[in-house]
Amino acid sequence: MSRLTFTLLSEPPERLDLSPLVPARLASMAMHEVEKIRLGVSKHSLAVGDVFRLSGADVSAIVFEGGSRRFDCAGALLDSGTIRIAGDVGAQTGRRMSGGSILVEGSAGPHAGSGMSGGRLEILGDAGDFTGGPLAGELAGMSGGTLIVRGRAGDRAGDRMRRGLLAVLGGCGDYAASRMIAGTLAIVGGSGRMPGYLMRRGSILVDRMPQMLSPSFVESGAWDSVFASLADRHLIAEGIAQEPLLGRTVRRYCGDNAVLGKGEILVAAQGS
Amino acid sequence: MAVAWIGNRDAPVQHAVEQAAELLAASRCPVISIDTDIHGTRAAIALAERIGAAYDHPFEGVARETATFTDRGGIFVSPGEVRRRADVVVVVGDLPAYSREFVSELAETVPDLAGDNSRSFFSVTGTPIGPFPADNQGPVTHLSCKGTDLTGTVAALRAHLAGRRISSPVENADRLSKALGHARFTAFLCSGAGLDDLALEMVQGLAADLNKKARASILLIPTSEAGWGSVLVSTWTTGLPLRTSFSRGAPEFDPWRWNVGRMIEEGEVDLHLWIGAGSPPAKNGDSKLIALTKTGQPVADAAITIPIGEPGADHDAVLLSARTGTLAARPASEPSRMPAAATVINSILEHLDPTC
Amino acid sequence: MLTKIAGGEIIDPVGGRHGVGDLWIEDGVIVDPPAGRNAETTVDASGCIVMAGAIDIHSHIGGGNVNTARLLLPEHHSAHLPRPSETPLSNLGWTAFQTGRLYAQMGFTTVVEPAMAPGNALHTHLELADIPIIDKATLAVLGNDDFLLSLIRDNASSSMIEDYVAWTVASSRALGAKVINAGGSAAFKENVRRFSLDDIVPSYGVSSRKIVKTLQMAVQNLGIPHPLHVHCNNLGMPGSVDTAAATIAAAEGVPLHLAHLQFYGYGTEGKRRFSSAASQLAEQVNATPEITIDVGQVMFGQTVTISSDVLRQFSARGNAHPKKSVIFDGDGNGGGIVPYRYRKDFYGSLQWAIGLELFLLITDPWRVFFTTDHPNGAPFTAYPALFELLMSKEARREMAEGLSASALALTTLLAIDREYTLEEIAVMTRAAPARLLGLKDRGNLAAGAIADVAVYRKGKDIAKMFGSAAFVFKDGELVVKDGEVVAHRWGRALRLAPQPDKTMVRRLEAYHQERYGLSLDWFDFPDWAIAREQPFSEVACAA
Repeated sequence: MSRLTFTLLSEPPERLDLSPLVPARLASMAMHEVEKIRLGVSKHSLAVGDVFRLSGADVSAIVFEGGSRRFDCAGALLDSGTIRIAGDVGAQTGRRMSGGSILVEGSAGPHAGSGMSGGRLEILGDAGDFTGGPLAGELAGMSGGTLIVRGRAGDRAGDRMRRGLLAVLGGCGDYAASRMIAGTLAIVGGSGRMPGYLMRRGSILVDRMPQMLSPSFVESGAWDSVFASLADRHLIAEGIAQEPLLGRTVRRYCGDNAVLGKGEILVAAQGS
Repeated sequence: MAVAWIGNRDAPVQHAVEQAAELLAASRCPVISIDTDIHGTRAAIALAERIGAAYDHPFEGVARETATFTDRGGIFVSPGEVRRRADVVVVVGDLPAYSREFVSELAETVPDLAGDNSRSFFSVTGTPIGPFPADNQGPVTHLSCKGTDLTGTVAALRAHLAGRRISSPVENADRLSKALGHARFTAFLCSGAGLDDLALEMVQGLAADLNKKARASILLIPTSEAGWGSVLVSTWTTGLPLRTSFSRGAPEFDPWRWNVGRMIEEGEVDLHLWIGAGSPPAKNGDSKLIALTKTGQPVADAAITIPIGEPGADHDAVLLSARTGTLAARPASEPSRMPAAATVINSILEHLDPTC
Repeated sequence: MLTKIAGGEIIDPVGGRHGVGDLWIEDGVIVDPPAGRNAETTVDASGCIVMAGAIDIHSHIGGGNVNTARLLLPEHHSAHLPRPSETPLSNLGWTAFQTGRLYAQMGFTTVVEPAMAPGNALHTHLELADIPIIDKATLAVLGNDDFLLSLIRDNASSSMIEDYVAWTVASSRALGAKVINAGGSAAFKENVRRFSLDDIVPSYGVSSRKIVKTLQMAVQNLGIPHPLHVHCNNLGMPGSVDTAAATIAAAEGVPLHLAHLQFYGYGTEGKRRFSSAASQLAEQVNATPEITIDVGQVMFGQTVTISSDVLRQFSARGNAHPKKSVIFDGDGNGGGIVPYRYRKDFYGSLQWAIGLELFLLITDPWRVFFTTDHPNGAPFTAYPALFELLMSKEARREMAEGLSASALALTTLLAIDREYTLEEIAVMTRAAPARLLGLKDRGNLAAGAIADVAVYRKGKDIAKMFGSAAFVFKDGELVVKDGEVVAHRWGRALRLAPQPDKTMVRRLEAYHQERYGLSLDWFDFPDWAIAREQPFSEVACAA
């Protein structure tokens, strides 16, 4: 059975909510029903058939041929199966996903992987602000799974992260891992100002000195070389990084001392 | 004031209202910017519901103040209690210009409910506060931390006061420490106009730390009184603050998606209704503009311009008063024939196609 | 228009009617059967019971703290998540508009917001004005405000205190006065963390008891129909029964209303030092005729606690679920918002049982009032389920099966056989609240009463019967049919209008100028500010 493919007809004139187009929700639907699903968020909104040409039938492997910055909530609540988007996406891609995998071949908007608890979300291009983070009013950020941004992530990647692995390979904006509760954020390409602001626990691994550290982080000589090399090996084994991020010499900063202070920023010394 | 404008042509207000109703009913993605009084906001939200519009205020600072409540909560104090009780006042970040008067008032008075009838001032900001100079010459002690910005300084200050290590000292932090040791009631003054989300959260955390042993609270001074008033109205009418949309029927709150400025910039909007005595921002993109504003001439590039008065000046109004921290009835100070926003919007509502 | 509600079982304890018959309505009021005239509209109420519209005396439906709770919890708004009907609080009536609709659908036609900060009166009344269908009223909160505490400290005359209470009630358009943890908020601002009836407010040298007694007498002497509404100290603490008992004893023959007594039914027995003291408390209420109480029943699930007891809310922050809260050091009381989930664990089970014990062990339905302290014990949408628990011991036993047995073992609940009759329900939710609040025009079905009428289709499913009224009339207009709202109208806020004493107004003007740097105008408002026709309706004080 060939993959269920949504081929984009033209750039949509409004933002779309793609959350209905996941395997669990399409499994029992006939094609003509799928075409009627409402996607638009304006008052005269579009349905699937207005935006996409459908082909294929295997709902466990969904493909979007063509993307748009107006594709919101792609792969939301995904629990199994795969989704590949050959293009860009908008906000909240993989929102609260718990399993399966999503590949975005272009760039993503804000809140990619928001509140995800499992599965794998990989973005080949850039990601917007609040990657993995909670929406307004929520307290829980990413709580599991693997989130990879091959390009650059905006501000506050990993906001309120609790568990899981977030890897950003094209550098992060400001306040990476803000309010982190636990978990690991690995950054290649450096970070902007004050990573780890308000972090309680958890680890930020970064290949060079961030633009600015908060004064509430303090350098600490003792660092766990076993953890660093394990982390490096894991990133390579997962196909996330080609070479060790930290290497042998690491500087370690503990914080955020404004709060609990049990988090750490590990910086590869050769890049500093 | 029987005059309005359709494009640059004079038109009777009645005619302009009818035209506006037609445009709003036909719009695929209408948005409304609200910068007006309580009853104007009530009417604007009723219109948004009717036509399936997103609505917003034009103040980023108000969005940050909203997030303080929606995302975290915290401990807050009324301005009256600050005046009567606060013996230590810490200003963190810039405050909105209009609050200068209140800060001066605090400088000229002493607490009468607690403390020893004196008030000391600290400031975590580089710019002057109220009547005070920016250096340490006046009665204000300035707190600063080398090599970082305001957000970093607040973090360093909180860590220092909690007895944890910091990498760069906060100048005068010990003076604050000492003052806090004797304080009966500490008030932090801050605003979304002067602090980012994380710094606002850090100040809340700092106050929470202090409350373990003593009393401290935060006076959050809204970036815009009208903006915060609209937040209150929106919250009781829809259950949600601004940056909410009715486009799918029920109200949905999403401070990113329904940010009207962003929506216009990214070409998602076909019609923008501006409601505010102040001028609308310069037209941006392809969307049409309907301007309800205090003007004697058509707004550049607006499809329709309808004049409205300034609440509390041209007409009686209910407004949020940051000075009292609640809503207040303000009779017109210079009554004119300029109508209230609510009057014009209700008139548009009456002219909407009932099937809309 | 002459309307006949035909063939229903009319239950009107005030008029002494209980039996099948017709009820006639004309021009918004109930009329005697008109001789020789035919009804223009006839509503078939056969198989139904017909009661006056219900009155809720204590439900937090609007005002600053309620709105802050909405702001704190946008993620609990029904529309925020993809499946609204299954989300927590989706049934809460979270907007002003929904509040009126949901109350009307249950046959409620008058609701009292019991905690209006006088300084926030305009905001409160603007919110209430946006609640459709039902009439509303407010209680003005006093007893932590500097002006009153200073008067008491300075041994001001009782007439001066009465003038101040009268001005506050009149300017804030309230129907009565309430005291919430008397002196506790003022003490908290001075860093006091525990505060009981005989503790002294720092800087004033005044005890909590003295504040309660002073306000109780002022309310009595002003002829305010509703007795002082008291939220005692130590709410929710193990052992709070002692505080409630001492407060009841302090009534000393003068009427006093104790709010949400369930939260004070807590003893300190058992290995968790948390037990039911409900039977002791009920006995004391039964023996003290000047006392009325409402229950504040706990029902299970997610809710949010909203209280002007800032001291209590500050100490409850640690139990917030989800983990966020707002504490407000306001003028006077301030308040706190702490979201909370009542679980079917030991504590939740005990709280649930204590509320029901109070309902069932207090014998006089004229003195015990039906509340969940919305939304503190549960949202008001839990009322239908609560009616069922009161009217069916079987329903209680079924519910108890899923609860903590060790908690229930500390209560008498399962040994109580009492089941409320429809007549008792009509007293508790109609007749008694009208009498308690001084609303002579409602709560009964006698000729001349306003035509607020609720018609319920009788059935075995009590919750369904009370959750979805067959017909509801408000001021004679049909507003609900088969559980659906069929007409919207704007109700009014019921208020007292005692004449403020001119000397007191001058004194208050001077006080506000000197202490706040503001004219008294800022603390009052004209009726035009509400922007509705006839937003208020005046209720008389006793002569």
